[in-house]
Amino acid sequence: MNFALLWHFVRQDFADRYSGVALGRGWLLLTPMLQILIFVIIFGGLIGPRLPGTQTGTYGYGIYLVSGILPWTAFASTISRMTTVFYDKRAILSKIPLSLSLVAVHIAVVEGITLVCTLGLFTLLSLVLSVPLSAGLLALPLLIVCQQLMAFSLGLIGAILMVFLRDVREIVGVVTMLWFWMVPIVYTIDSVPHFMQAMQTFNPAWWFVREYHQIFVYGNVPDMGHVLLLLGGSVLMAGVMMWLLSHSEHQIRDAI
Amino acid sequence: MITVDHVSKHYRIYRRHSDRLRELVFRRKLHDDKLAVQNIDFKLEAGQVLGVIGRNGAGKSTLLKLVMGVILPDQGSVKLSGRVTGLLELGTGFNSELSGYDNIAFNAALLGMTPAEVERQREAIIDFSELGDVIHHPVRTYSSGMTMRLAFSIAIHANPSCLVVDEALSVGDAHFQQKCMQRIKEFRAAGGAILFVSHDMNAVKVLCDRAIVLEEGVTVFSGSPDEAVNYYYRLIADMDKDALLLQPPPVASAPKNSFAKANSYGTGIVSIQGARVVGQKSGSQVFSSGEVADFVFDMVATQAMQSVTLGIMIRDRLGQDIYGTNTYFLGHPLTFAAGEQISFVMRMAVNLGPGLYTVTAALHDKDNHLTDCYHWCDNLLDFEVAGYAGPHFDGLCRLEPSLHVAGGR
Repeated sequence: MNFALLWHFVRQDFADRYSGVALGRGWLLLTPMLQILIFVIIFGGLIGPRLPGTQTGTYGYGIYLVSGILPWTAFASTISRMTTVFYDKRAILSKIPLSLSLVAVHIAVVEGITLVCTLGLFTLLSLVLSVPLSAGLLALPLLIVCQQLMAFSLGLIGAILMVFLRDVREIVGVVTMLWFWMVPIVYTIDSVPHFMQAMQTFNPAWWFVREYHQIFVYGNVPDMGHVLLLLGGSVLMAGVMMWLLSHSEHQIRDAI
Repeated sequence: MITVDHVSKHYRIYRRHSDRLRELVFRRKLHDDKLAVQNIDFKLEAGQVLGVIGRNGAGKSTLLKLVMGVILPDQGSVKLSGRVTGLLELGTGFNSELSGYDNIAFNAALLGMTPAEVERQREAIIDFSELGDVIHHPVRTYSSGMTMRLAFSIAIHANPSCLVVDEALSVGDAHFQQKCMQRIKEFRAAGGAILFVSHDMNAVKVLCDRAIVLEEGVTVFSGSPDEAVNYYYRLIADMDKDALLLQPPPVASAPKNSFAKANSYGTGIVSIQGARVVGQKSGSQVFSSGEVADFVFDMVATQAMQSVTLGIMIRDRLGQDIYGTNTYFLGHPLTFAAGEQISFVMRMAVNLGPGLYTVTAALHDKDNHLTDCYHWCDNLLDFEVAGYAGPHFDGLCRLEPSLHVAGGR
């Protein structure tokens, strides 16, 4: 793995988004800051329902909502951006021999970094609102790496399929939208029917969203068994992705 | 350096994009196979230059892509030792919002340079590109020539062991092109290998040690560059016969025996008012090979001028320089009084092979047209050599050998 080049891709990605803009990278923080404030204050402070069994008080629901939405946003946008990555980078791929995964992995890193920033803001806000912080925060890096590995694998599978069927981009859009509502992010897991609760066992997104809830809402340390499950699932998915990639590299390079 | 071992490559052409998926699902062939290259086999050693020539669509680009590794062969293998840098991806991955300076690091990393190498070479890259302080401006403000200069500079400093050069290097102005060519020659002298793809046959002859000719994906010729170029010309000539039926040849559209304003420039102190070429026997601009023809130029000067040079260049239908001379070389400088009109005749036996030719003429000072160019007319005249006056010969020019038996038993 060429880390220097990966780092350049990451920098380029941020530069593409914010160069020529007066506030520059300020927007990187400003937009999520507003988003977090809106969720916490409107849904938490003003019209929010009370969450049972939390120490977060008035803002309980807002905190719950944001602690799920932030990792989900990173996860979903990693997948959807990666789906088109071979097309977006075809100018480079058709002229310079780079490994296919190298030109894609920076997206997972960029979204991961963005997630670190937004979670940092969120933690600050929690401090301001005097929500007690948990030692579980220390587990965040591992959690972020695992969820982004999962997103990377799924996204690259999307990118491979996209070579064979352009519709995959739209399909990924629809699937992630549906998927969002299948994960207890807006609602709590006990508020849905039994079969939906049972389904969550097989929902990779729930594997990590659950742990963010534990850290930010309930002040717990993540369950190591759960984290291991997430890690195992991510590695397994990465394996599937690598297998698919090695079998279709020929065709992908022809098609772009 | 580069070993291309019996490489073949097909492309699958799908009518619809979704046929790729349908084919996977229904296991039914839904594509047309297009053979891009077949059974290409060559070795390129250090310090060697291999030319690849061929018509459009002959498979040159596919071969380059295979060598670069951006597509994978169906059969055979491509083995590389050391870093291969293509001069075909000049500027790929430039971010137009970033400054040239910032783009150096990313572009160099794409070409495989480590951060330490980039730091070491950065000054040399900027120097070579001749961009000066502009290097700190965003690339979007660069002219295309400036962008290419920077890109070439990065590529050549990436310290490759093999260069893949596609087409004539249209990098910047003539000065920079020469600089690039010089740099490429130095690279070769230092033991670098070059794979050179071009339609510029002169460059192929000058630069290459060997050349291969591709036709419909197959190597139809491999050998010395001269022979390869001749082979290529024969291929083109065959193609032109077909093309002639469909459209007039390009030379026919050039102005006939008339003053071509569109293709001329210069200070105009002395200018060409008219010109014609006349075969002494035929009395027209079509004459036989070996026939003496008059090239007549009507010129006028606006002021008194001394040591004016009239130069001509005869080119064939491919634009190759065939013969050029001027009155300076021939020791016949022209002198004008103010307002004087002169008709000047260059009379020569046109010992050229049959074909269409153009004549470019220029009026300038002394021996070169760079300092004081009075009037330059591209493709001012055209003429055709048809048939032979004297013995038949093959090729572009008539040499006149004397024949005798040197000995015997």
